[in-house]
Amino acid sequence: MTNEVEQLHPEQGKISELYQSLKVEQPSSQVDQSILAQARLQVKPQTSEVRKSTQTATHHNRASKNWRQWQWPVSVAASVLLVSVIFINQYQFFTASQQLYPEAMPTEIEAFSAPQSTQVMADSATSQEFNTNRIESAHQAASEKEAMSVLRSAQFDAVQSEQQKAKKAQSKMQTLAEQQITTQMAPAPEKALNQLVTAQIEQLQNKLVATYALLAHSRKKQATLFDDQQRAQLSDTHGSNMDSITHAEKQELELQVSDLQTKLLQQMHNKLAMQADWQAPQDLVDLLTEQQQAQWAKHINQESNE
Amino acid sequence: MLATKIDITLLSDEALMLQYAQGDFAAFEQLYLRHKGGLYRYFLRQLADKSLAEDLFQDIWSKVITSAGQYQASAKFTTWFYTLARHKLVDQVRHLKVVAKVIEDKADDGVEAEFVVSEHNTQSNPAYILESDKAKAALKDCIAFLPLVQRECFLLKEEAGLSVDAIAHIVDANFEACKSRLRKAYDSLRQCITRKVGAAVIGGKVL
Repeated sequence: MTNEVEQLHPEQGKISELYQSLKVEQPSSQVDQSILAQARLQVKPQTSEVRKSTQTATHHNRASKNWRQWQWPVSVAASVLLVSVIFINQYQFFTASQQLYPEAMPTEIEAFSAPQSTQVMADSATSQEFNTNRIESAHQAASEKEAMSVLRSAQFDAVQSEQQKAKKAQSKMQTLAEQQITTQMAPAPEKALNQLVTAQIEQLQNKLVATYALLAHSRKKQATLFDDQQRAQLSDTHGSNMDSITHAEKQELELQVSDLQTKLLQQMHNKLAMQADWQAPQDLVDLLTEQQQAQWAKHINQESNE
Repeated sequence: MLATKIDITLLSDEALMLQYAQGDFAAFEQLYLRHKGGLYRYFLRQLADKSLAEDLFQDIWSKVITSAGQYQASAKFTTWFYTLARHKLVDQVRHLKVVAKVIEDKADDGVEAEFVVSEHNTQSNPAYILESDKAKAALKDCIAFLPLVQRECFLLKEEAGLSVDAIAHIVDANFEACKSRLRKAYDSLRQCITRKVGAAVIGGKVL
C-alpha cells in the first residue's frame, strides 16, 4: 500500500502523516449511545422472538405428538361405533318387518286364487251357478280386503307402541322402516290382486267385443236370410228346395246366435263382477234375447240395491 | 471475558459483522469503535457541518444495524460501508442544496461536481481558530478547497485506508481515473500548504 502511495506522489507520505494528526474529530457521546442502543435493541428482540417461537414450536410439537398418539385408536373406535349403529338399526328394521307380516305370503296366494276360480266358474258353469259363485267370490274378495286393512292397522298400532319406548335414533329408523313397509311390503297382496283383476277385466272386455261382433254378424245374417226366405216365398220360384236350404241354414244360425247370446250374458256378468261400476252398453243388451235382457235388468237392480 | 475481547479485536470487519448478525452485540461495538471516527470525519470534511455530519453518520450506522442479517462476507466491509456513506452523502447534498463554492474538476473527466463546499469551512470556524499547528490548519483548509472528486478520493484513502481499486469501486470510476484523482489531490494539497504557511512543515519536515 505504501508503495502504491509513493508511486502516486513523492510527498504523499508526508501529507498522510500530517493528516493523521488531524484525525481527532469524533462523534458526540450522545450519538454513540444512540447507535449502540439501537444495535443492542436489534439483537434482543430477535433473541426473545426466537425463544418464543422455539417454545411455541415445542409446545405445538408436544401437542401434535399427543394427538398423534391417540389418532389411530380414536379413528378405530369411531369406525366400530358407526358399524355397530348401522348393524343395530338394520337388525331392528328386519325384525319389525317380520312382526308386521308373518302371514303375508299365504294371504297373497289366496288373493291370487280368487279371481282364477271366478274365471273358471264363469266359463264352464251355467248362468245360475255363475251368478252364485260370482257373488260369493266378490264377497270373499271384499272381506279379504277388509281383513287385510284391519290386520295392517292393528299391527301398525302395535309396532307404534313399541317404537315409542325406543331411543330417538332407533325410533326414527323404525318410522322409516314403517314407511317402507306400508309402501312396499304391506300393499303387495292388494297390489297383485288389483293387477290380476285388471288383466281379467281386459280379457273379458276383449271377449265381449269379439262376442258382440260375432253376434251382430250372425243377427245380420239371420235377418238377411229371413228376407230372402220371404222373397222366395213371395216369388215362389225356388219351391221346396229353397225351403230346405234356408231352414237348415236358419237352424244353424239360430243355434250359433243362441250360444253367442248365452256367452255374451256370461261375460257381461263376469265383467260386472270384476268391475262393479261397469255399465253395459245398450248395443250389448239389445243383442240378448228378451228373457236374457229381463234377467240382466233384474241383476242390475239387485246389484244397485246392495 | 478477556479472552473473548481479545478474540473480538483480532477479528476482521467481516467476521465482526457476521458475529453481530448472529446476535453478538460486542462484535458490533468493536466494529463501531473501529470505524466511527473515519466515517464521521468523512462526512465532516465534505460537509463542514457537524450536525449534518452526525445525521448522516447515524443514518449509515442504522442501515448497518438493520441490514446485518443480509450482510454477506463476499464484499469487503469497508467497501460496502463507505459505498453506503457516499450514496447517502450525494443524496443529502442534492436535497439540501448547500452551495458555497462549486468546484468542477475539468482536468479529470469533466465530471460535474456533485459536492459543494460549505463556506463555513473557513477560518471563521471556531474549531479551526483554536488549532495551533499551522500546518494542520493549512492542511485542513486545503482539503476543503480540493475539487470534490479529489477530496472524496483523498478522504477514502486517508480515513478508510482503502486501496485505489476499492475507492474506484465506491466512487464508480475506473482505476486509472481514481489514481489520477488521488495524485492530483496530493499535489494540490502540497501546493496549497506551501502557499499558506510559506515554508510549510509537514511532520516536522520542511517541504
